[in-house]
Amino acid sequence: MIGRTVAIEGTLTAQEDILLEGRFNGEVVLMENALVVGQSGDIRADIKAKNVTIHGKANGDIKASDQVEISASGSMRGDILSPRVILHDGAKFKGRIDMEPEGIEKAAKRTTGAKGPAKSADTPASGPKSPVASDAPASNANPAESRARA
Amino acid sequence: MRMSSALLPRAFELVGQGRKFTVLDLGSPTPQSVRFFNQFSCQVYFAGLLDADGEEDEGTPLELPADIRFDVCLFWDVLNYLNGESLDRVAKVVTDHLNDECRGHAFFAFSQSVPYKGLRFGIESVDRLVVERDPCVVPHVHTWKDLEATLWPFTNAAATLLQGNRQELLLVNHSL
Repeated sequence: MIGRTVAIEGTLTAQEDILLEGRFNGEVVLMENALVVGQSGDIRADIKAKNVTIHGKANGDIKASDQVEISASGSMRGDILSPRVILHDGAKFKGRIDMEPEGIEKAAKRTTGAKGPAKSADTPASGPKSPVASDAPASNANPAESRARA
Repeated sequence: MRMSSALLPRAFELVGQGRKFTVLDLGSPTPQSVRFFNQFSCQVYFAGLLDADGEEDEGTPLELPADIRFDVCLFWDVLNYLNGESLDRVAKVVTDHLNDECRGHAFFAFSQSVPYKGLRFGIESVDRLVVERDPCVVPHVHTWKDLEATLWPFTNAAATLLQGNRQELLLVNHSL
């Protein structure tokens, strides 16, 4: 844990989960672990981690291999790349979210064998599904369930 | 409150079939919107144009990454809360970031002489919206005719008249 009176600048790497309640400026690399920015936490950094949870303030880009969650008290400005993003009511976010549901992407690569996107809108739906496809999830579908189905 | 939409599905008609798609949401993200887009292979840019987070961009009300090109633009009724000058600047920025077949979805006032309540929208499913009152916004009510007078990059392809002096529009890129 990095306490609320602590201010750090630089690169933070670790092989354990980190709870940040203080201020951090720089870069965070926790490839297989989780970063939690507590309510009093204020981070200005690019973050690479397995899971990232923000209850405080974050400014920078996040790459998370598993999940990013921004709680009701959290605010974030920057880009997120993660297969799963959860935003709670009251959370503030400004930036880009790049979503790549794992099951869909793997299925698409298996089917098409191509890395790049199709160029025509008439391309058969063998890759990522369309929001207006007949098998689109119901309005109250749980995202986790959708991915399991995919 | 939930609201069904006949035009929103048409905004998504051309995307997602075999390729990743890119969406501009001019408003702030709602939990429902994030959950919805999480089901697809896509990139969503939330501009948060009306956010009062104390870190407003100075000068340009909308800044987009240079490399981004949108397939779908969700304006909701955010344009109704921008003054004429900001509207012009947003139109110019958006114009430079559209794919050829980009479609848009927006709400506008039907008449400038009738009160227009501030609302906040999110997408729950492709034909269903989540709507909340937003008492913080100050409308600069615009009609579609006002917008056509700017260098707006879209053409109105279809419209539905709704309650509360509101009309829902399906927009298509000029270059089509």
